[in-house]
Amino acid sequence: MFRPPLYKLGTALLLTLGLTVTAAAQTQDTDIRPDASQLSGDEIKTVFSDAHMDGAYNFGRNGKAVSFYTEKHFPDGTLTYEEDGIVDPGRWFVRNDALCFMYPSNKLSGGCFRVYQIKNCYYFYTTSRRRVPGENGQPYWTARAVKKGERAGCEKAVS
Amino acid sequence: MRLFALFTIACLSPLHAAALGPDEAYPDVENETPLTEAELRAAFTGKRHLGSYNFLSRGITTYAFEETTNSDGSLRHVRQGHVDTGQWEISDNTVCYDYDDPNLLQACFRMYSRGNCYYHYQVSVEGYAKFGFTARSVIAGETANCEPAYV
Repeated sequence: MFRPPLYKLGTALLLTLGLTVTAAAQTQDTDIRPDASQLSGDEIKTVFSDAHMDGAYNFGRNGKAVSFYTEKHFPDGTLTYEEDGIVDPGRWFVRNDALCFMYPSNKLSGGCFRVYQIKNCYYFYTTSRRRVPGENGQPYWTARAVKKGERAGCEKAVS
Repeated sequence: MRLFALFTIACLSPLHAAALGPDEAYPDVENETPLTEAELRAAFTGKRHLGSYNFLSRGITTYAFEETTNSDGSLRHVRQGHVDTGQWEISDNTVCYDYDDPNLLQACFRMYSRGNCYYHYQVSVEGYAKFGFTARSVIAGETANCEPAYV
């Protein structure tokens, strides 16, 4: 669902430096969880099986994303991930109420994510302990997605 | 186990069409312990494994492969009728494969077991097992009892 975590390291650095977040901008360190519902494993399967999602990551301090992807999750557990016109195959599955991804490409790191929903938006929090120190369990989401064709209705709900 | 150096492309043929994507039986590389060197030697030295790749590669239309890791350090890999030879070794709790074909990268894998199945996780340059497994296999002659059992 994402590229290697360089952008996350960048955001972590910004956080470390203590840069402020504007109230209106929904950045990746905006803790959306108090306003969201976490999906169970069964709910993840229901939402994502056969779903085509438009996602974004690498949000700037203005709350605008600069990186975008689309991902098709097929019912048989396969997927395609597309970013910048490049399509990669992959697999998805659910483990311990988290949505997990595997990719053969070394450009994509895969992993498992807890999924939180606000309106029609899905936010992904990694379960990995290795990726970015402090990210696991911290108010930091990796990406946000909506079903293809839908307009995200979540930003104002958490500003 | 053969690792194609450059080209792994999309192919969406389902491995187990009846399954609804999730497979909680996959090893959890962050929380489970891979096979030790002694376990690796028992499982691979002088053994022939039958397995399936998790993904397809360019020009390859079958997931199935077989690989013999001989006691003398040589190996023989067969996929879709194509034979590759090379060397293998066990080092630092990983199995490393080095093929004679210069287009194939040398790669090392940590192995996790599920029943009598071995899941092959490539080790990254940082020394971690990559999240997704590359392939899984069983020793020839055994019936795979991992789920879904498509090996």
